Amino acid sequence: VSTTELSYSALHPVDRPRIHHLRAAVTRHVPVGTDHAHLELSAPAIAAEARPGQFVMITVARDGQDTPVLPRPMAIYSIDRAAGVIGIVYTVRGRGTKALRGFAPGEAALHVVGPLGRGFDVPEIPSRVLLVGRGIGVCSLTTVAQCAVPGTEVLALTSARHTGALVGAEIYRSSGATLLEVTDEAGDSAPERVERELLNRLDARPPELIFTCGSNRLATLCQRLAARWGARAQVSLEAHMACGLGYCHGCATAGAVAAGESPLVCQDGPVFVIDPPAPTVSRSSIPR
Amino acid sequence: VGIPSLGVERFRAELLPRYQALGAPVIVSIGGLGIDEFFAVADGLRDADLAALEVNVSCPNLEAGGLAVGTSPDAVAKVVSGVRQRSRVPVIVKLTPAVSSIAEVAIAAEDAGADALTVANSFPGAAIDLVTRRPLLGRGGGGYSGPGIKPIAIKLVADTAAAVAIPVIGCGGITTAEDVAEFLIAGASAVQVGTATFTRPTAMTEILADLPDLLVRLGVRGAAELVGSTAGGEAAL
Repeated sequence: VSTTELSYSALHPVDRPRIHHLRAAVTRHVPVGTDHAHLELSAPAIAAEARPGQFVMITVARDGQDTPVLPRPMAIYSIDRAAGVIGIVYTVRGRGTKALRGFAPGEAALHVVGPLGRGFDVPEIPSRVLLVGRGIGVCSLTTVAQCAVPGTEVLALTSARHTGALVGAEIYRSSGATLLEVTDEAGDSAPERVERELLNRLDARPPELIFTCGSNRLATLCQRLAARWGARAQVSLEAHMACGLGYCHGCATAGAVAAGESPLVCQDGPVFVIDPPAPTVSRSSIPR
Repeated sequence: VGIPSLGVERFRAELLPRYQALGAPVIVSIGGLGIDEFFAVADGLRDADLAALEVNVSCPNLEAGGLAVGTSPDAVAKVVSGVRQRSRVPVIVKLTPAVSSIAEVAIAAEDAGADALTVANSFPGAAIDLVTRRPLLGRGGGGYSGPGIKPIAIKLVADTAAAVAIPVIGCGGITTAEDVAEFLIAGASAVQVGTATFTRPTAMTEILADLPDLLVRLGVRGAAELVGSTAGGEAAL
């Protein structure tokens, strides 16, 4: 799968998640900053089994109503296994998220299906992890910090257009991650600036894993840094989905490998390996 | 979208046993990129324990420049008669709605030996993000289905049922028992439910639970009484 600059590969398959369908009550629903909302749902079966980087499908049509027809895919932003609660953070953008914003705590339960997808390869032993997220894409990364084994060193960069749109600070801080916030408004979010900052902080003791979501330019930066440091880089892709289950094939990744063979974001992803940068040798230098 | 699958060997080894273990009759829907692929898949399922085969002729036919097999009555006839010869179980043909006359294709399938027809598949569709001006789906377009296509599907079912003697399985936007009754009255003998299960995974069992009361309200003793019962007969739609 390739975009203009980046190419991705499917991760090695892991056991597919055991998928639960449940009616989840809203336990908390509050604004986050200026642009987003944070929704917490009582979903014990999903909270018990969800892994970092997985998502859920949430039906936003109320009982007895026909629309919006399709459920919405939402990254799992937080997992509280003890309380049986999962959290999501979203931006009100279209009809689905507008309808979702209308659900109040204690109100009728939403249909939720999950956990879904192939998440990040989180290390089972303490290691050094760099998380690079932009905007609402940060929601795919927060559970990596939250679920990290003790001793894991996490540097979490969260980028946004302006301060009010930043996502993740609370959960990163409470997880013991080192937080690095950058914004377009402050002028420190350009990939070149971010690269200098990350090299300053990490070049002497680089991370072994780099996970990213929400920006193609930052993903390209992660690819470059991974090559420099010999780290593994993985990206969570966003896609419109109708089912989230691998059934409808609407989220086939762009740039087919061959007719009908593109990986699906919902089932083969949403997390993919970022392939190493293409070799920069010119054609004429290839030995014949 | 060009729905890929595991291939017939892995399907038989890995997936089919899991469906068969559920205890319900299993109908396998098959497709191919080209007429020979339909035959290869039918051969691969020849001795499998199935209730029926559904031949999805909406797939692009790479041998004919990517046009769906299902848009050509001749190609449909060729696929259906070949699969019919290879199969020991009833052969259902799932027609594409993207044709000028569904009756013509339906008759071709019936004459070639189809035991039933599914009407119809999703419509080719696309949507565009206003800001990026890119298609919302990764592959550009995809199959459009759900409640938005129901009135079109009802008409296609009525047109097909009027043209052939074999049973028609109706589908396209069914979310309630009332929708089921509407398809039956239009001429369907059975229905399929797809998109509604994305909204409510329990949609099909809910529809089944609601159906008996609806039949009582409509004054019939069974669903079969509704089939093809449009007031004014076949020409009514």
